[in-house]
Amino acid sequence: MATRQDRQRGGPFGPEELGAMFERGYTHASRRFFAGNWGHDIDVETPDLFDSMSDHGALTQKLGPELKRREGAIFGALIALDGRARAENLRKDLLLRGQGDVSSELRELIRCGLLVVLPSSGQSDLDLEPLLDQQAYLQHEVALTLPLLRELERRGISQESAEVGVWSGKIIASRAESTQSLELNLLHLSAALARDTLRLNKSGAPNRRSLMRFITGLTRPATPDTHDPWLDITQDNQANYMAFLLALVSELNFTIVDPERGLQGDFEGAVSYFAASPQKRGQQLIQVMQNLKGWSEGVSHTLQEGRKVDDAIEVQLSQTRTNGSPLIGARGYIVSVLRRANLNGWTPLSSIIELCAQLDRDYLPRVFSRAGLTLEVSHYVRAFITEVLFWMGLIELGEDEHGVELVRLTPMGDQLLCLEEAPPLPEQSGCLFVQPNFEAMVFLDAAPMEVLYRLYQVGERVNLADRVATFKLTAESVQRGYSMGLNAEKVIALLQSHSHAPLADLIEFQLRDWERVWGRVTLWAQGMLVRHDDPDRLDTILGQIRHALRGTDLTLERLSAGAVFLDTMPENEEEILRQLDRFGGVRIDYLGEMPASLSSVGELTFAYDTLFVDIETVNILKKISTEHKAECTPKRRVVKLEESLMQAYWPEHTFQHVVGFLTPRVIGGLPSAQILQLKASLLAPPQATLLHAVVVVTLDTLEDAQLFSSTERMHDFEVTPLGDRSFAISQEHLDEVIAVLEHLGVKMTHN
Amino acid sequence: MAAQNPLVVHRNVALMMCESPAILEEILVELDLGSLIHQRIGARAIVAPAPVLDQLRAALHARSVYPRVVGDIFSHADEEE
Repeated sequence: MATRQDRQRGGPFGPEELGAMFERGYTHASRRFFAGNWGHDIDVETPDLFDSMSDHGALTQKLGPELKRREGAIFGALIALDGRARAENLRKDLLLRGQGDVSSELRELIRCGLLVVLPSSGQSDLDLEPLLDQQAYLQHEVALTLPLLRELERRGISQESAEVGVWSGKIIASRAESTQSLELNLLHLSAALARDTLRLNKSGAPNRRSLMRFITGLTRPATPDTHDPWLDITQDNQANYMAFLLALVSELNFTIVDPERGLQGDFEGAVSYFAASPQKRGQQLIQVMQNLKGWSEGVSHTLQEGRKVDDAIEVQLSQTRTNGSPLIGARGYIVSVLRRANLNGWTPLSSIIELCAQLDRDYLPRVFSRAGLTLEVSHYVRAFITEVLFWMGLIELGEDEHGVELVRLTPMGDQLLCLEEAPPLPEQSGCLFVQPNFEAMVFLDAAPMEVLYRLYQVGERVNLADRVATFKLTAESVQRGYSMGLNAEKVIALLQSHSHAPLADLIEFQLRDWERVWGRVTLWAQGMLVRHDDPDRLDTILGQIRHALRGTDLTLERLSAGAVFLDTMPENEEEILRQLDRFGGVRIDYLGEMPASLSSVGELTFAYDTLFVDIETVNILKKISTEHKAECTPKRRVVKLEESLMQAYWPEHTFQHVVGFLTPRVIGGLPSAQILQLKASLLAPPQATLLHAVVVVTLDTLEDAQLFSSTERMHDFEVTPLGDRSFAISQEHLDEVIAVLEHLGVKMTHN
Repeated sequence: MAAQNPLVVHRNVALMMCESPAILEEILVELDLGSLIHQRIGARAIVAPAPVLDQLRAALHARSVYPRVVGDIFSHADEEE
């Protein structure tokens, strides 16, 4: 049996140790197997066997004239590990060094007797042949023998042989994106989202028209030197990159989704990221990238194959789906593999894909299976490397003259994936040039990200070319920056400390003047105006609202003794209305129908209570009427509509506009007399015929009336029908009419 | 009695509040708000229906007055596709 002392000793096997292990740990069959390997009879004595294993000629024959690359790598790795190592660890170590899966080479080296398998602790019956057949050898330690070690040294095999064969050839094309470009895109997008809301459709995908406003100024990856670097989301892969940017700003908590309005930015909240050191930002980016929920390289892969493109883009752009969540573990796995891998220089992409697939063969398929994704490991790893890591500026993509795809870590990739120490940053100064026309030019290669962030707060980026960004400082942009907590002193200090030349007095003066002007006027976008003509009663009501909404963010502005403005947050509005409903009264909603508030008090004359009328009605009345000063009081106004004013305000279809305006606003509706008067005033006056000195003949039945009206004599009179049975006839024909009626036998009654 | 008069609540109203009455006077002189639906209340404030705020802000910007804006400005733009 192999003793604990035997196993704990390191280094290659010497004859004594090997002999002890043969005797105690191996089965007879294994010893015969070993003897056969070295050309002996099965009953060879151990010393004779060891003599063969030490024989230079025999070793040379077994090794062959030249070692294969992977064999050299195995021996090199074992030399680095002091001559022995667990086979599985050796396999993984060489995988990480980019040598691929060496398990079959390991098996062959054991089978031919060049590597010695150690029995497990307490094992006395190690049987080599089934061990090799079942791959169980990977769970055992393997070791070099001393004679072999000497031969390997003679051949120049050392631990360097295990290092990844640095690819040597001609790179004919390479592409790299910088992390700074990605961050500049994130900054630009966050600043735009802070100023405007990205509208979302019900599916959660952005409204395309709205989205187009946000892509302006964003650059596509790896285009620093082109004249047309701008993102074009009509291209599928660029739309996919846009979706990736949106997912990143969301994961960094720079945005929130308002179900009612859309995607909104929190630019002030972004300061903690952009003001952090590059190393810290990088680490956060790596973390955020792995946790990305709103974007999936699994879906992204389908884009590469050109299928279901429209659906895939919609899914990627959606701000409410979390299709990236199931892949969080897979991303973490690949990052950990790359961190452990010893990547030096250009490496074939296929080697890295194999490394990720082989290091833990079951992990990625298990993740995909749990997520219900039908993804191939190689496709997924490729998408992760060539999109996510490339877009983040962590790897560079290349191609050699034979079309082999290659990758290598960028300096930032080295720092973040291999946890290399970041080189000390040079003292940053003079990255800015502020011109008297209020344009600030920033040299991106020298500008700390925080300076760019501050410039986005107080300026508008108007140009980006040749690694120089130009920001325009305007009254609006600077005052917007003041709204985010900056002030003139801070902005002046920022510009001065990073400016290449002293800041012009004019700039300082204007920044201070904008600060003086800023804050004098505040606009509250949406709220409630609460009015009561008794200030004490209003105070009591407000006190109850404050009490009911204590602990919430409720802002009240007292406008006058009887008027208060409430800044109603959407979450408070319902409760405020519920409280106000307890006091009854009038409700006027400017997004609904206006309540009737006018009383008709005379010919085209209306009165209203100044407290109960809505703003719109008062404004329009002022334009189409004049006040009856004598009848007005502070609480009651009386106005008379004026034809010329109505026609000036509504030049076309004046009558219809006036009636349309007044009908819903007059309590009880607009009286008919008023409508007639308006018609007379604004359209042609109604026509009327007055008949004087007439006799009215009314027949009892409709039939008699029709017969009477159709007699010949009736045509001699001027007869005006009055309804169905009556006729008005001029007084001068009275005798003739009576004579006709008598002639016709009509029995008459005179009233 | 005044206390028996009802309470009047105007919903979806925007407010422009000035730091001092003088500033409001200055703005009213400089700005032609005649075409906008609005009402002055008190010495420092103007109220308007919320949908009018965008026009009010544009009028202020046209006179190089960039007010602080609290809350989201109502907009009919960008309806569902």
